[in-house]
Amino acid sequence: MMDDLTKVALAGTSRGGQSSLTMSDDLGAELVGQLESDAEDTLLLRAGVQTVCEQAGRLTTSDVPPISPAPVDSRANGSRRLAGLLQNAFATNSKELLVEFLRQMQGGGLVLPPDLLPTALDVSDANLREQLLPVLGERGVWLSQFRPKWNWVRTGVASLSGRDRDVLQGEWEHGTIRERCQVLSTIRRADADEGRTWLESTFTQEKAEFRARLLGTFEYGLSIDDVEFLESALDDRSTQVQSVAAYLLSQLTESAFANRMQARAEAMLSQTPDADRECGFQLTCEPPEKYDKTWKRDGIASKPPTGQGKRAYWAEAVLSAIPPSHWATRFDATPEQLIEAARGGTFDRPILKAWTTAAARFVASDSSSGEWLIPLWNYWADLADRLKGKGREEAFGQLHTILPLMTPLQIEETFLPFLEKTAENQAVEMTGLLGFVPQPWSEKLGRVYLNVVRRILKSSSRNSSYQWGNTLFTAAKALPREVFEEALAGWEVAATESSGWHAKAIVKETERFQDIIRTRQSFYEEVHTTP
Amino acid sequence: MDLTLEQVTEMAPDSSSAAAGKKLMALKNWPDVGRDEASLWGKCQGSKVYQIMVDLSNLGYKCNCPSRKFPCKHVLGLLMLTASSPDAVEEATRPDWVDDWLSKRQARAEKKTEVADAPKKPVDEKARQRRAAKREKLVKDGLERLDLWMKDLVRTGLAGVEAKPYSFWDEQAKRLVDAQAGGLASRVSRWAQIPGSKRDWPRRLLAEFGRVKLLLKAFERIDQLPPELQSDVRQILGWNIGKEELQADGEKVEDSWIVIGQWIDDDDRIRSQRSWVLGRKTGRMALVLQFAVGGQPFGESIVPGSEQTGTLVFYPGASKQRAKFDSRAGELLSIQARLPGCETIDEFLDTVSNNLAEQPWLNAVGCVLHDVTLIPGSEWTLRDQSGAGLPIRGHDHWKALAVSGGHPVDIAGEWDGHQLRLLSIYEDGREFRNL
Repeated sequence: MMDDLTKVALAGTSRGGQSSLTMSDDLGAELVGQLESDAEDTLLLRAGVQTVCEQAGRLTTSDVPPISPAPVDSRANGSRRLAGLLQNAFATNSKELLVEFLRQMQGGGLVLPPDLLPTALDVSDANLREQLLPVLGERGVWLSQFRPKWNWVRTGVASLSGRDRDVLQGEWEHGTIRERCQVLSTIRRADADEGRTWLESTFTQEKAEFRARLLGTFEYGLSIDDVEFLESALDDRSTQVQSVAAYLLSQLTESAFANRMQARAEAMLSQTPDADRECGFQLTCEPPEKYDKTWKRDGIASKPPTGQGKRAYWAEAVLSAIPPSHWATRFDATPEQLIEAARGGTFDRPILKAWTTAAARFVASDSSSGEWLIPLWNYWADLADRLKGKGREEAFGQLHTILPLMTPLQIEETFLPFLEKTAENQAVEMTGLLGFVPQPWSEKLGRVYLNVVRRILKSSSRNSSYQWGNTLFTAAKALPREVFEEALAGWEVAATESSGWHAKAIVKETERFQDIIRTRQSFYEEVHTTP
Repeated sequence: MDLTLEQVTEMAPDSSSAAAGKKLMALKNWPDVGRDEASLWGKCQGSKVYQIMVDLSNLGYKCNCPSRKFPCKHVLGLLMLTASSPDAVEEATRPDWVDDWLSKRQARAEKKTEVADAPKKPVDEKARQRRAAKREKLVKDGLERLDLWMKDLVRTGLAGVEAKPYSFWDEQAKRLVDAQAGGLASRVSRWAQIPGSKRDWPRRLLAEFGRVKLLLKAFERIDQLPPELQSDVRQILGWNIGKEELQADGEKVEDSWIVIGQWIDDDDRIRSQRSWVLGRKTGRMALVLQFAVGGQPFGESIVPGSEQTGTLVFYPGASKQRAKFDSRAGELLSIQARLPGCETIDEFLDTVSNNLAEQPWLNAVGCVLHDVTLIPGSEWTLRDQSGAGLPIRGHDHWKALAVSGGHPVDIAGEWDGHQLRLLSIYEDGREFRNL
């Protein structure tokens, strides 16, 4: 009916076609008939009557299939204030705060309030997603099923059975590379063999870049069972894939790869007696003069990066694949003695750098490599103190590598005195190091830090103080709650020395610092008062 | 006052004001703060010490800071403080500066009613009639021109109008403004968006033409219509109801009025705020409109999710839909009990039919639907317990879905004849959330 009217209206009443209109005796025709005059009036009036009738006679869509509701959650949502703090953290995109808040919520047995779930599910940062998974709750997992872009939740919490498996399989086949890496990580964590089988089945068809990224997920559940596959990956055409495989293989100390590397390393390092040294011997390093073609397969490039000699580079590449604890056994000496023995030799810097890299690489799997952290720290801290320019920079770079691996006790033993010492001459490099200290800081470190920074800001507003002022932003997120009160006590900033700009900027920093501390304080209060 | 932090946040003119208000909401920023039955006040240190006062009967406010945001961050901060920790603000004796303001305010309101009640100034009845007749003539001519234009269009055919420029439609709207038919003008100016918008645009455009044609016909024979419907037709065309006329002819209804939902139509330079207000005892549904130009604030604070006893005055007409607050006497509360509403969607659509039978040009109907579930999809659907459904306007209702968890909830919305615009959701019947 209405469609007939529309057809006539589209074509125009002047083209005829009213016949179909005069024929029908639909609703309102009689009424319009009384009002009628010409064809256009009739058309418009009838369209009007139709429209009103349609709206008045509007029917519902019938038999809409229901959806199954979200299961009940045994965990609570927390207070409205908590929700507000979280919402703010999401809105301002403060990742570190969010990570801390989410951990606290998890610890307090809380889940995210429902109205924040869409925002939470939209998060794309992988680390944040990992923190979100435990606090999404039943409601969040339920909600995620309705949007394909929220599938990361399913793939993140999936077990390998039933519906979850289908979701994983679907993502694995059709997802983006990032989603596929996520799927593979999940599977590797649940069942490493299964994960390897999945990757093996498609490996040769993947692009080189994807092969490397997918293979990277093998760090989860890595075991001796992966050796065969990883060895075959060493023959990959792509050097990127080779180096990922080599890195993974070096973690497996029982593998043939590790044995090959060990043989190469042992051929380089040797012990000669040296009465002048406290430890009684010297370590000499003799890297080969010529490149061995078999190295290429194991991820050692023939050409060094610019600025490094090739022999030094080869030594570093080989030695960094060996757990440092190996040398303690091999030469029957403590880490301190070995470092002492290497010092001053031809390739001492590459050896120490390699040991530092290796300690970082193996500390998680080999606790005796952890014993190397303090001696290595002392070695580099000493250099950082004595050298200038490039050498100092390099030493600080190595300290950056060591710092995140240390336990709070190790940090108090090494970093704390270093902080106090460097603060005296307001060394600017120190300010960069603070960001590498694992968070949250210990109470003791927190107090020392606050004292040091207060002293510096109070005494001057030079450029270096400004740099120290900038560390407040890091500290605001790292200080433990035990020192919140101390952090919130009034801050004194030295009046202008040269330009007023620095002093003002520092004052701004202290305000921002206190804002963040207050937010965190409120959050802790809320989490701990929620029943 | 019993508002939630969320409701106060919604009052902010923009998100930066809301954030600034939040920063001020800690008690330590309010060394001198107090309240009594009718008012709330505080002093806040800014560039100097500002005095903030709130009239609790209608959330009127004043702050002597120079900010051009309304409400400013100080007012928001004080309201947020009161909303988040009601016990923090203690009962006290109202200071003089608050008392002065409040009594002036009340005096002004009384004067308004007095003016309304006062015998009207003698008007030159002849001149008034002359003016009225002149306008009638202007409107009549304007409508005839529009009629002719629509007829020309359907005579030559609507095919191809999607290629017409905006000015093609706008010109008609401007002519109607000149003809003093402003209401119809704004309706016609929206026609420009229809052609080419969706596959079925010819049908939609013809439907609009048809309804306006009925309106023109109704005006042509207005004397034959019942008086109430006459009033509707004239209001739709553009005759405004003056304050005095509203006081004199409007129906006054006293009730506990619940602001069930609100949205702001920001299409033009003029923002129109549409608040749906439901009477708890009478079940009357009213649409309260407020207009503001640019960044100006709306005249009255109408807070979604609040409930307050008072009197609404309904505009004369058959639709009995549009209304205005005449007085808001009681304490401003959060919603006190489950909202009255329709148990099924069919029940609601019956109401729509009845409303259209009274007034066929009705564009929107407000509603509360009990126990409905949100069903996501390429088109979202609201489903009642019997399995009947209604399409929902828009595609981003994830927050509503998250909050409801797929369980039945009460929903307030605005039905436009095609789709339902979601306004707010009520968990467990009364826990309000703006959408």
